[in-house]
Amino acid sequence: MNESLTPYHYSKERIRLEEDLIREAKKDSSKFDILYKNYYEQIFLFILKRVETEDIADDITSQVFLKALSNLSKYKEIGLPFGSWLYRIARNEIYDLYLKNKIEMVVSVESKGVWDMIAEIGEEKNEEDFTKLHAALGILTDDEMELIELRFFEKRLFKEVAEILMITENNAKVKTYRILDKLKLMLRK
Amino acid sequence: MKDKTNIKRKLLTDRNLPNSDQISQRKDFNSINKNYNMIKNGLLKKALLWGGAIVGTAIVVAAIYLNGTTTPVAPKPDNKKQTEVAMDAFVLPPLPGKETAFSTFRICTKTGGIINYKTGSILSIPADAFLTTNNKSISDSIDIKYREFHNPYDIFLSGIPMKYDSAGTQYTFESAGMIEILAFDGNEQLKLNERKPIEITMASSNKDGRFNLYQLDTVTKNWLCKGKDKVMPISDNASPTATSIESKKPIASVKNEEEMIEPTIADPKKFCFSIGYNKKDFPELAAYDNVLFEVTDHKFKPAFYKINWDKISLNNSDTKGVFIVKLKKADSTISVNAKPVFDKENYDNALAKFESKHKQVMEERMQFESENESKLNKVNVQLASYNRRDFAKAAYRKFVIPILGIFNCDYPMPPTPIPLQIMVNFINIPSTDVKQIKYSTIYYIEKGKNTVYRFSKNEPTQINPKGKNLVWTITDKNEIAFFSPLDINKLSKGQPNNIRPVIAKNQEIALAEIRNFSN
Repeated sequence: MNESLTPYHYSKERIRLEEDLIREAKKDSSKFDILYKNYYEQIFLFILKRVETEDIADDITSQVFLKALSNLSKYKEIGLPFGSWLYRIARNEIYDLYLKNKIEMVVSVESKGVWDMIAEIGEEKNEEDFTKLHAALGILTDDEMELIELRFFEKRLFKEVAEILMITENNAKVKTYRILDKLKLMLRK
Repeated sequence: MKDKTNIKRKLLTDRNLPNSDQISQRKDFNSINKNYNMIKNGLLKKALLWGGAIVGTAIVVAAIYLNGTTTPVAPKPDNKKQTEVAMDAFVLPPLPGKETAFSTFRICTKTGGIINYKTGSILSIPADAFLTTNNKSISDSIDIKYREFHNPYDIFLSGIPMKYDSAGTQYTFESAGMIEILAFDGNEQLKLNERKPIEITMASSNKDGRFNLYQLDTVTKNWLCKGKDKVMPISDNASPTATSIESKKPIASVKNEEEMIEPTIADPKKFCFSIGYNKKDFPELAAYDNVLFEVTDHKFKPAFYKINWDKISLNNSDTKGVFIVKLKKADSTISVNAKPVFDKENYDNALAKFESKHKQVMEERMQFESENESKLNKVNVQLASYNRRDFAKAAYRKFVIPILGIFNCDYPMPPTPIPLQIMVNFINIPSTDVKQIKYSTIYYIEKGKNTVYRFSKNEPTQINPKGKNLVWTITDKNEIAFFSPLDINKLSKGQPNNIRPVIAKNQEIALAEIRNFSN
């Protein structure tokens, strides 16, 4: 699978600039504007891919940025992009609303992602496998589905997947390949 | 409640997702910042209700269809958020960030203190006046946030409602000065111990005695009358004195956890227990040896004294100097109240220890208070000096507040026969050089009346045609748009009038115009 740098992945210099902005925003909330503009689209899309409508995604995105701004004083610089924190807030917000029966959760399946998974598993690309794999996604556990979503449907680097899920990069890789092995077995049934 | 371990997700394949331009249209940092500032200022609950957003959307859509605009449009995120806030917040500053800022004063809760505000007002804070929301007392320094609103400009920007409903009759308040006071321990908002009210001597530009004191109840969304303030007109050389300034001397009591219990001699007619306990758990007894616990409880039966108890333990009670002795035998436990006492042999020694410790604590306390007071006074003088501004004082109005929040020295202006009712309709001109504007509230101030009339776009705007007026609105883009006096003079009573407000090119200049009119 080809990996491309998502806008989330910044250079160390860019992260340092971001940290300066965060320090300024801690003193003056209007300075948060730049961070908001930088991250709005990717956080909105991250949420939209997990909920049913754009309006719901819009509401949750607003809540995510409001929570981030309200809790900025607690934010600790650990050398990661600010986005990793926003993704975690977004993820918690979605789960929270789901558990309170406020929203339904969805998986935005990308056909290309499913074909990539088939290739990664080492199978020939055919329609039957596509259908089988698509159906198999429905029986993955929540943790497994999250990894597949991030890696194959959102094309994220393992590093990024790890930061969002708060696990090590190596662990993200191991877990992903275990899921692929599991799916491979299902395909052969 | 759903289970996180068994999440059911709907699979949606190859969804059409919005492009960057479409997503960009949803960006609305002003709304986020506005909500954040309201949370920060305690005007909005920390978490906005999710359900509120959905309901809010419905209300906005309904309002747009009902208000007579010629082209109904779908609600934008900004509108929705404003409604969402309006549902949660009763106080809604129209231009967040422009309202009178809070001044912050750090004060030691143990000693209380005097705060001098930039307008000349004086706040007298008693010792131990603040509690957490769980009713726990605070022993450290805390931040008091305080601000005042004295003219229509301040009132307009504050977003504080000036309507007063009394037995179904709507009055508009005329103000002789309004204050807001909050207290924080770090990020935690505190409440006032009702038994330790704060005395406020507020500088006012009005020395009239017809004003009452009202407290804004944000739960019932109405003002509550709290009696009358005491007006003290300002003579040439007079300066206010807060009664508690004189009483603001260090209070001769010691901190609870350091306070020893004064020893008493055991009553030979009462039952006593000698109980082993860990001195660290009972610091008030730590300095003493050979303490006995004398039963003060009438339910204690003499027969209990003869029982060979399996376990006797000592526990604190809610009352200072009273302990709970738990007597356990097999499955039965009896609790009785007891107080620490000493037999004659040990009493003198205990008394000497008490006096020595008490003296030491008092000396430390005096030193702490002295140092702290000096530091606080210095900080407060600097802040007051920094914030000082011209203020035409005519009187001081003294009142006492038992809770924190917004208080107003007000006179409810009775509803008089409506001099002029206007229904303001937008002129929606399909032209490229005239902007179609959207607004929700019309603001109206009249020379000589210290208030702001606010009218929603769906209610008749009442204007006194004989008064010197300033009428304006704020658009959905936070622009200030004035209604021309010429247009207002042409308005006809009792029928819908079409009037187009003119958007000011510069918000600051527009605000200056309102400010100048207010003074």
